[in-house]
Amino acid sequence: MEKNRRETVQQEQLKKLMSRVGIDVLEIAGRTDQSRSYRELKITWTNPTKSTTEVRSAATPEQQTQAPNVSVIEDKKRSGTLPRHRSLELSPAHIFIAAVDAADKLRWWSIMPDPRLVRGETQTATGELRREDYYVSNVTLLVAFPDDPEIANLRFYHPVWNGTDFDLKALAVVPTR
Amino acid sequence: MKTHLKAYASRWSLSAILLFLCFPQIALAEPVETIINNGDAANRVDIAILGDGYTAAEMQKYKNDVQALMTRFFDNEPFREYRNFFNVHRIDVVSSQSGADHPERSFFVNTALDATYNCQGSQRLICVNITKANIILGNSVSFSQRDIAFVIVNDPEYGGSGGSIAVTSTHLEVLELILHELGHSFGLLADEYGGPPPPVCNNTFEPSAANATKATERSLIKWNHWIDASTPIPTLSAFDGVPGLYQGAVYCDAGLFRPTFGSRMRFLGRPYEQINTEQLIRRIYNVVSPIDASQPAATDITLTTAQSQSFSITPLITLSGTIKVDWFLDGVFQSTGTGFTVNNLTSGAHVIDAVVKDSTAQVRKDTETY
Repeated sequence: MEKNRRETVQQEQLKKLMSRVGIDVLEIAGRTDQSRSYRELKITWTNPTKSTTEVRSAATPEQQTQAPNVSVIEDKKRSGTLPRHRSLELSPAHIFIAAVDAADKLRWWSIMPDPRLVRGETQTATGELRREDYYVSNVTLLVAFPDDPEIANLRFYHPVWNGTDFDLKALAVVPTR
Repeated sequence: MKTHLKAYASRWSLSAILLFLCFPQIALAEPVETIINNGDAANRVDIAILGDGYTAAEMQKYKNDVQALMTRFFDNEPFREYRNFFNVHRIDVVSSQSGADHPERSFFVNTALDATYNCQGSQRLICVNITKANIILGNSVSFSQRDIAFVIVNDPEYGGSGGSIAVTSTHLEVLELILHELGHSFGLLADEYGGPPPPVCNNTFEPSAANATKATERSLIKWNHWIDASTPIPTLSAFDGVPGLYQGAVYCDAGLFRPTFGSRMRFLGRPYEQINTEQLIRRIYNVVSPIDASQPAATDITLTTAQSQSFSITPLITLSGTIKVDWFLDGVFQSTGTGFTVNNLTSGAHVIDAVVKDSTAQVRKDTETY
């Protein structure tokens, strides 16, 4: 009924999105979210551009799509289940994470706010807001995914809106085994 | 025309719900108190709050500040109506010194998250060390307990910032900034103000956000379902709360349009208004299912024709009681309520459906695409 229709629509959206980056979506679910445990990676995310400052002004939107240097500094197994996104709504201020197996099949996915982004908004004399974005050059972020032995790596993408759809710009790949 | 929000049907294929009962067990690095507990974190929007610049002696002040912040937060729609969909966890982070850095007057303190005003030369911009905040979050609460993260900085001067972690000082008016920033990070809403840049105005194509459009033809406007037929397009009036097509949005003074004259995504101290509220409710339902639990657990049940069988759904409850459960037997409506019992079924296969609907008037269009 309605639930099934929703899931079918989301599955089709997911297939379309993933096909652009060469990832297959399994027919049944496309994700393994039934595990009773999950892994949480602590990842350092460093902007490749040499910078001594922690926070930098975002002169161009392209800065957000620069591929960072990433390294895993901690890998913990935790009990419990992960929250599930019930829609595939994307935003350029978020990061899409695909957990894939060795054959590039999608096992799970998630969306998180871009941890590098800092928004500064101030009021003008008329009360209207104005905004300036900044990017943190070096940040440690936490990423969780199901404790699924089939997951071979996590792929990080920046969603880029093209006027009708989101394209996924590859940011990083983190092996998980 | 009104469509019901999130109609969910259950044919007792709800095995995933059982998993919600399993709370993660992790060692807490910092003391955590769940100050608003409305249910399992796996099916709630969970807000985790960290403090910075609060010494051990100021922990009671921190608790009071957090309580005051969240009381005012839940006074705002749609969070007031959907309060039961949220949990709030206060993480008691102790700093060595009180307050925050003010480099503009060479005042520096040693705090847990390194909060500083005048970040990037903008006096009201407070930056914190995101890495330190993320590490404390990771050590203190489970992944499902931090859908949204705030840092409250123990300094009364106006200041804050948005991003993956929203930052606020204790100044009473900064809540408005937090609500605006949540519009971005949680609601995926666009700014509804124009230029001058930065950021750069790009009005060459349709924006992705629910509250900005390039369309000028009524039928193509994303929020057309909110616009009264008598409202002119484009809309030139300056009345608050009247959905229409107002020029100026997403850093462009022309070529892009916003849904109302002056919502919270343009000015602080205003409501979100209809279109943004609708989107925020949809986003709450991105995290939360209106079904908390169902009984029986089995999806395939065999009965004799003389036996009866009771079914039940535990739905979430909105302030206005807009969520209802309808029961269907073989596709035919039977009754409304959280429970349903079947008796004297004819022999053969039958299907029981429970459909949970939120008929809130704050959502007129429930769709993931426009």
